[in-house]
Amino acid sequence: MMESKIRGVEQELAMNTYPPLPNGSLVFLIGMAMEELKKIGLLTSIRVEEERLDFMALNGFRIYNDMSHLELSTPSYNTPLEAVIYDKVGELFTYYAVQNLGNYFNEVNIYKNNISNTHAVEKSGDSFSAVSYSTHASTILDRRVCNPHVWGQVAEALIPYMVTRVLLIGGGDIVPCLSRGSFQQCGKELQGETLKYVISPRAAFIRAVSSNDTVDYRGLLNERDEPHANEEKYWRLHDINWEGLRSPYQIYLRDCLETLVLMAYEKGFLKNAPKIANPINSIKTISADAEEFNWKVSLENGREVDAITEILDGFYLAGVERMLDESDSNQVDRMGFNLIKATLQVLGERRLEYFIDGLDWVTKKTLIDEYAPHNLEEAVGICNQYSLIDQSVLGYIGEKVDPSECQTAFSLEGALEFACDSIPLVDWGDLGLFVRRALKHGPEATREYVRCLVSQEFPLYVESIGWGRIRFPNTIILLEEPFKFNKEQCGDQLERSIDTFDSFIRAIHEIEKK
Amino acid sequence: MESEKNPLFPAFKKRELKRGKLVIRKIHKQVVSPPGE
Repeated sequence: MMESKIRGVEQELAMNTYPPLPNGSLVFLIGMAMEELKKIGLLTSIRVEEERLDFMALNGFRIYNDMSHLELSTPSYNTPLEAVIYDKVGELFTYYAVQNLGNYFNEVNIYKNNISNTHAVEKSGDSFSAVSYSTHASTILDRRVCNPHVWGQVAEALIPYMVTRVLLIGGGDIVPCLSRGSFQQCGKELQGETLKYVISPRAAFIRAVSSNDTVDYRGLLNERDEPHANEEKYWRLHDINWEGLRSPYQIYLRDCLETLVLMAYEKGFLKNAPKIANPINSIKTISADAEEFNWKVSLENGREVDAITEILDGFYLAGVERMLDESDSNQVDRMGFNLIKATLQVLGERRLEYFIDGLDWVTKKTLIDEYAPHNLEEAVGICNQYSLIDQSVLGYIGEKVDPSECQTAFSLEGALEFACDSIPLVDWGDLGLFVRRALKHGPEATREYVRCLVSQEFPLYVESIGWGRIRFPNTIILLEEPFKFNKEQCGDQLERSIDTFDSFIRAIHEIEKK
Repeated sequence: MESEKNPLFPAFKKRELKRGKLVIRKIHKQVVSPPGE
C-alpha cells in the first residue's frame, strides 16, 4: 500500500564559517557549496525552478538557495527504505558541499537542524532569541478528500495527529522560553530569558491551527496548493513541521507513520477524531515535557487523555490497522505498522532508555543529561554538534573515516545498530551499496526515472527539469501522474530511444498517448 | 516484548550511550543562521 504514495523531503541547512561572514554574504557561500557538488559530478547545471542557484542533481535532488539556506530536496520516492537512503544521500551531499570550503576559511561547519539560538547579555540579564528553518515533507494525496472545500474535514482528522506525533518524530533541541516556561514569539523570533530542552523545537514556532504561511504565522497544517502534478486529481500535502533527523530508524519510522496515517485519512478510516481543546497549546505542552513525560491533552469534551494510548495508538493506529485489514497490504506495510505500534508501546511505558540512538530527541536528551546536566550553553552545543554533518557520514558508504575529522555527537554506528536490530525485512548490510548507487541515480519506481534519464542523456537540450514538467526549447514533457514514466512502465522503450533527441521525444509522445 | 516470537516485532532493548569522551567545541555553541523557508 505505502508503495502507492509518492513523497519526499526538503531540508534547509545552517552554515557557519569562522571567521564569520558579513551579513548578507551567505548566498555566496551557498553558491560556492553548489559549485563543489558540480566539480565532483553530482550536481548538473540544469535549472529546476528559479533563475539562479537552483539546480538538479543527477539523482533528481533539487539543490538551491532558499532564504540564504542551502536547501536539498530529495527526489520523489515511494518506500520507507528509500526515505532513509535519500536522507543519507542528502547528508553525503551536504558533506561534499562543504568539505573543501575549508580552503577558503579557517573553518566551515554545516548543520542539519531547525533552530538557530543566539544569546545576549543585557542590563536586565540574559536574553535568548531563536529563529527556525525547515524540514518540509510532501505527500501527494487524492484531491477529492484533500482540497480547500473540505479543509475543515482534513483539519478535524489530522490536527490531533500533528499535535501528538512529536513524540515519535521530534528531533529534540533547545529553545528560548520565559522564566515561567512558556514561549513568546515576536515576529520570526522566539525570545526568552532562559532556555529549555524540548522534544520538538518546531512546535514552539507554531502559531496557527492552519495557515498558508511558512515563515511567520506557521500552522499545524499548511494550506499551500501546489501539487506539482495534475491539479484536478492531486493535492500535495505540504507538511512544514518535520525536523532534521539523523537516526535511520526514526527516519524509517516517520515515513511509515506519515504515509500510513495519510492513507488512512484518504481511505476514510479516520472519522470522528478526538477533538483537542487547544491544539497549539497542546503541541507546545507535550513538546516541552521532556522531564516528567505526562503527555496529556485536554479534549473539547473536558476529558484529559494520554497522547499515546488514546490518540496515537487508540485512534490513529486503530484506523491504520482497520485499513490494513480491509485492504491489500503487504509485508512492509504491516511491518511499518508493527514498528509504530511497538515504539508507542515502549514510549507509553516511558522507557526512554530503549530509544538511545533510535529516536533523536531521546538520544540528545540522554547526551545532555550525561554530559551537560546543568549547563544550558553546553546543551545547545551538544544539540548543534549532534546535527553537525562531518566526515563521519562517509561511513554510510563504507569509506574510511578519520576520527580526528569527526566532531558530531551523533553516533552513526550506534544508530545503524539500532536500525539493524529493530527493522527486519531490510538488509542493512547492503545500505552502503544502496546509498552509493543513489548518489547518482534517482528512484526508478516514480516519475523521477524520466527526470534523471533526461538529466543524464540530454543535459544540453533541456531548459529546466521541474517536479511536474520537463521543458525543452520546443516541447514539454508533462509529469502530471506521479508514477507515469517510471522505469517499469517505459524503461525499455525509452532506453532504446536515446540515440538521438528526436527518437527520444518520439518515444515520449508514444508513451504519453497510452 | 515479543521479539523472539514474532520476527516482525522490533527487538527493542535497553541501550547506553557509547560516546566515550565528548568534547563540546565552543564554535558549535552558537549556530547563527537566518530564518528560513
